[in-house]
Amino acid sequence: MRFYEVTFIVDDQIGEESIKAEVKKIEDFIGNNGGKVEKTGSLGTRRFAYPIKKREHGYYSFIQFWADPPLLPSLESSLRLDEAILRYLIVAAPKKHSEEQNREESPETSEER
Amino acid sequence: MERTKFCWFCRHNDEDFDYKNDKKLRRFITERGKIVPRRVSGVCARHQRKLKQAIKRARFLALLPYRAEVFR
Repeated sequence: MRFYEVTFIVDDQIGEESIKAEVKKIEDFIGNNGGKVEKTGSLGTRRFAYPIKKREHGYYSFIQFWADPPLLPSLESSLRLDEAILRYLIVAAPKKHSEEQNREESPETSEER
Repeated sequence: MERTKFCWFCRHNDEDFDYKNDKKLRRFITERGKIVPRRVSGVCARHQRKLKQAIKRARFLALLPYRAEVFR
């Protein structure tokens, strides 16, 4: 198992409830496919530095999780095919990174579920 | 940006290069959105590499601009 972090931007025009459902959907996808979600957080709705798909702002969320590498292509394709996800970024996160974030909890980061 | 003699990250003992923390990264880009060179920022080679990676990831997520207009 390796430690990864996926950050994604949800289209905020779909409404608050749908955004929550969207985040949950990705969490579940990881959980149901042999991954283990360590932490979920969000940066809230942010204005983009440049337009993405004609949108000027979006809802940023990130999930830190443990998974085996073969999970990633399927996770990627599900993110890519999801119309509500404007953009996503999956990176290998060092374990230290996550612990540090837990310690110095920034105000806009939500607690672990 | 003022010329600095010391690497900000070494001095603050800071190894957390988080691409989501655009506020911190903004200190190391110019008003045009360019990455500040080491000769100006004083960041050491090792930390500049990590900083570069973080800035580029932040740009991809539209947290930072690839290029910004300068208004006069």
